[in-house]
Amino acid sequence: MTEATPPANQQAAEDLEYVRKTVERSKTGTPAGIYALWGVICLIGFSMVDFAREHVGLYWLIAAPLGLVASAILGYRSGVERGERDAATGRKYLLHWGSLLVAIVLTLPMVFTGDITWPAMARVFLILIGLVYFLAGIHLDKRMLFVGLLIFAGYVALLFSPPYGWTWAGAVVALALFVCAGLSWSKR
Amino acid sequence: MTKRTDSLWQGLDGFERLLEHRTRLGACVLLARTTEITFARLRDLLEETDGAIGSHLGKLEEDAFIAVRKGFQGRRPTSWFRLTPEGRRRLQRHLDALSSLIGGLTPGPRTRNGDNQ
Repeated sequence: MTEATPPANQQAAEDLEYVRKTVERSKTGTPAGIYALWGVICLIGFSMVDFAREHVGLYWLIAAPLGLVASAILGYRSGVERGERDAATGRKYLLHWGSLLVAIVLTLPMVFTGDITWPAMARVFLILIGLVYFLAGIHLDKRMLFVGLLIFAGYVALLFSPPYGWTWAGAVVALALFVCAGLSWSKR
Repeated sequence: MTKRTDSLWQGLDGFERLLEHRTRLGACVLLARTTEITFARLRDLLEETDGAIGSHLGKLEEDAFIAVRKGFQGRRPTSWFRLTPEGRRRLQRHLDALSSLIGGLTPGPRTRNGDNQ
């Protein structure tokens, strides 16, 4: 009994479906270590606004660039451990998050010239960070959409000036990042 | 194993005979999406054995679709594979040819079993 030959177009469709599923399997998203790193950075940095306001600027001046470099290293090492080197994706991530640092640095002169106060600037930073996370969720790793939305919610909550509002916002953002870390870890 | 209707494949502009096998096609698509991938990663993603994937990659390398570099993954020596510029171009032509082959397919009207019967 001979097996029927599938038509060429059906075979092509099956082949493309096989390839599509293989590509889906290859997608990994942001490594867990990067999420966890920024969870810790945000938890400390946000709560410093309530407990050590005078050191907030210095903290972020050091933590943000170092965090970016550490994230690049973690991303590269995660890729190599998995068996992939992807320069294009690395560049995309670096440009995306690097642009946030650049935007924040460019807004600083407004504080020094007195155009905006530090507390107001902190809220502007929060909106910027939320926006960049949200856009990262659209273009890089969809888990970050969730983090971006929480940051926006934190911004809205802060408008009501609750006690230790920044600490609470930091805790919520950190929790979201730790959850993303857990989800990323489980997908390894 | 089913046999293709060769007469329909041949003459299709851009079609690559070597990529007729879905594992080789899958390997090239994975390599097109990144800079380099190790032998083990390709094997795991394509769900093949060492021997099978080695054979497929060997054929792709012979035909200049891919290039291999001996390197390390941590401290473990391994082979890193990448798509050559020629391979990338030929892969794209092959995918375009496949898409045009199935492009004439349109889904028929949807029917649901048991509806209003």
